[in-house]
Amino acid sequence: MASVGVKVDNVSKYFGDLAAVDNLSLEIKAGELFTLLGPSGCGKTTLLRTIAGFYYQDNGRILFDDKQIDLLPPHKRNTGMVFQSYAIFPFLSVFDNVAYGLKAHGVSKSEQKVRVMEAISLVRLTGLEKRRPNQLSGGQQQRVAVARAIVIEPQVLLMDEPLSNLDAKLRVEMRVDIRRLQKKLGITMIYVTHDQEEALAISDRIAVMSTGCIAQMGSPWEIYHNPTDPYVANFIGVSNFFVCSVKSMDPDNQKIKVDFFGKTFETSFLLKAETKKVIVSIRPEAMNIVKQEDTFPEKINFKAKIVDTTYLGAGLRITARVMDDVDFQIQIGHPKQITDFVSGSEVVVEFSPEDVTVFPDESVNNED
Amino acid sequence: MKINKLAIRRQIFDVWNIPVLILIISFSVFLLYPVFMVIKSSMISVDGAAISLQSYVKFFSIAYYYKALTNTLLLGVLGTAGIMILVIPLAYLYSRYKIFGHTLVGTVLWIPYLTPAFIGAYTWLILFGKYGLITDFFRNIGIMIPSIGGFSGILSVFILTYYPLGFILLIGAFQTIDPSLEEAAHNLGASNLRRFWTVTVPSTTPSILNASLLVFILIIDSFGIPAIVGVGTPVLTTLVFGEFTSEMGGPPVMAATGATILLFISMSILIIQRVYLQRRSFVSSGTRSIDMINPKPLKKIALSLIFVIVLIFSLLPIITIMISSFTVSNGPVLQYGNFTLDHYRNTFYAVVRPLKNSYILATISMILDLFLGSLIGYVIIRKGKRMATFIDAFVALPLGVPGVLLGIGLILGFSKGPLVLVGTSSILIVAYFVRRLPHPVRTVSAILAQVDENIEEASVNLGVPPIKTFFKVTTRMIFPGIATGGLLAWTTSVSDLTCTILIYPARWKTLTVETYAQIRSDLYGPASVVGIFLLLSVMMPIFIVNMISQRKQRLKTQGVNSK
Repeated sequence: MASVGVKVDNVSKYFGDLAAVDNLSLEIKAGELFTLLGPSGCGKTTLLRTIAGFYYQDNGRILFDDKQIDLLPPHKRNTGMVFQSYAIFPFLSVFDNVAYGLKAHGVSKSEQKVRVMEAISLVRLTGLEKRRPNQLSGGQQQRVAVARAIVIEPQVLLMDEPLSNLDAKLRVEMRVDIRRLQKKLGITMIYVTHDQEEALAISDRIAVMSTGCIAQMGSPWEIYHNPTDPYVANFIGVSNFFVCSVKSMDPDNQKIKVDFFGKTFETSFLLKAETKKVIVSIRPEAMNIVKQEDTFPEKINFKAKIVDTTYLGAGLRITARVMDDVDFQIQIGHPKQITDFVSGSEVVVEFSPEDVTVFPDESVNNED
Repeated sequence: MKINKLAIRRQIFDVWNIPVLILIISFSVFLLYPVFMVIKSSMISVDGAAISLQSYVKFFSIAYYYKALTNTLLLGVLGTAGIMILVIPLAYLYSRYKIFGHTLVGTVLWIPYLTPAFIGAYTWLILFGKYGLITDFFRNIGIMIPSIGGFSGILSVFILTYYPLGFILLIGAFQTIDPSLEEAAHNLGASNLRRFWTVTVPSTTPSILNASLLVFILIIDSFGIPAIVGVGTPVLTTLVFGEFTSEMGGPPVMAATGATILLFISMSILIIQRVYLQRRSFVSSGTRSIDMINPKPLKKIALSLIFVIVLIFSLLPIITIMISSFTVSNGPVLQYGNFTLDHYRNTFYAVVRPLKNSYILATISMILDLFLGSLIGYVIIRKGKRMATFIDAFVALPLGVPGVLLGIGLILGFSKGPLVLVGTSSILIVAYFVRRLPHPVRTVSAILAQVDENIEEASVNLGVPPIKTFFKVTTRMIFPGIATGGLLAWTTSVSDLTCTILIYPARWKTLTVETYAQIRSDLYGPASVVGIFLLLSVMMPIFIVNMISQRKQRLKTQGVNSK
């Protein structure tokens, strides 16, 4: 299959006065699994449907390799789309569903048969060709949808929240299958989801979207570890956020000292001179609960009192209160003794400054 | 808002504008122009100079004319009220309690509505008329019961004919009310009766009003019933028909005036119904439906008996006409107990031609309706909201145009000039096409609204262009809607009398016209035979479609079971 790179160049799409996609640009490499991630209403599906041709952009261009395709009607773009609702033709058998696109492309009967059977075996549905869609489970229907999309050898595979109608366990299974299939075929794939865990698990690169724009783009590791703003940090995973004062700055080494509830730590950060307040973000799993205070000088720790715990099976989520008014969310692995963590227990919470992410607090700085 | 020239060009050249254009052109020529011609004719003054309101002054000052208007309005109001009083408790009981033969009752209750109205009227005349079977029976045992006729006769036949529509509409309303509303009332300690009056009825009021308005329009537009039962009691439709057929020499000023007044009434009702009521219906928010109560045996029998009585009244016309067709007759006097096949033998050849005519005309207009209707239904659901509301309202216009008015309008508009339809079969096809187009549009759009748009998009995405996708995928998804729409269009065209009787060319006499002629000639035996053929024609397709859909349902469940 001839996979192409996709270039979205300053594309905007308006619904009335609302910009669903707002002057957005991105480049996807051939053979890449690229995910558009964001909450509902962020414009990710609109962008995908614009690439498929179901919407026409109000501005900008869309290119497959160097060929501008945004003037083509959707049936001439040669994209393969998999829908959230599966959108299987209910009146056709599995075989005829998969063969549908080949017929439209005028592929000979004998070649149709070979290619359909190959696609069906790729999605592991061999033996079910004659079934009707209403005789298939949700997961099987989704596989038919995938087979139907890949059989026409599209230049780009477009996936619109393909797994959100499946149950949790099947979702995890299917996303492994989809990634494996994508690598095997070497096809360019644009994957839309609101599920950050799914995005982290499946993608080569992720674009986190917010109100029609890209908030951050990068590999799953970059996005999780170095979120560039609190929105991304909050959307990907869970985080503790605290507004803190800047004590001093060292512009030469790009380091700052932050006053964190009376304790001071140093972290690397490039700051504008006038910045006085920052937002400190600490992941719950970057925090720990220890027996004693001040064991490691390079770590920051506080006396705290457990106010609430949530048992997660694989781990434990603890809300610990420091200085009677600041709550920390802490996640630890499965404890040997659950009784160590009952509400009211006095504990020490600890984290290491290198696991901390700092953002400028723009709301405060603007007021100054 | 930013606009891109390309997008505008796409909007103008969108292929889906073609069916909309066809709709606008065909309605302008075959609906709006005829209506305009009638209104124009009503304003011709005695000396022939244009525009004057003399005819309206005449209409409201001479009792012969305004009596028809007051009769029409009075019949409309009393008929609607009578039907609602009858139907509200019936529909409530039916939607809440399981009775014996629940689904059968639901099906059979449709029969009087599907029976062409004037056939129903005719059978009530056979039973309760001056020489009626039941009137005679009571006379023979010494009790004089009033024979059906005049104002009260029309009123009772209206109620007996049109109550099924009210019943069906209200069952829908009672079934879709949010059950938690009633449960909340129950929980708060309201008794059953109190709950019915304080929760159930108020929350279905929009539906009750909606049903009332639809029934009202049916009553005031009806021609067959007052023409057959109400001799001597003029209503607007019969007045217009009479005036038109006797005014043939000059311009039909008074017929046009009466028709215009009728148009004004039914259009007002239609507008009220659409603008005011469609927005106010309380649709249940939950997916949970009302739980049916299975009453204790005694109560169940009592409830079932109520419906048995209703069933008898529903089936009586069919049974009567069947027996009558085999009964020796002498003009309007039927000699029950003496059976004969003579009516069939003598009438058979008289039936073949009109039967063929009715089928040909109804089928051609149905095909046209289905073709344009499905495309329009598609545009309404799938293409842009602003345009959709306009098209939706526009395509409903024929529902507010009385059949007599359209008939006169078509004759006035197309008897000379570039397009002559009078005297050809086309005039009937055009009339049926225009009047029945709302049916497939409604049934198709109702189903399409539930079809996942992604299925069509998947087809386009796989390389099939939009119009081809419509015929390859969409039509298969909406087939049930197309079938019901076609069925409604076909059967209502075959049973149309109101409009047909004004415009049919001698060569294209239809079944309804033939039946009506036999009834008016007091030939009750032959009339029953033609009536039977008419009834069969209307009922047959419904049973066929029912059978097919049930077979399909069975196949589907088998498919699921074999999984």
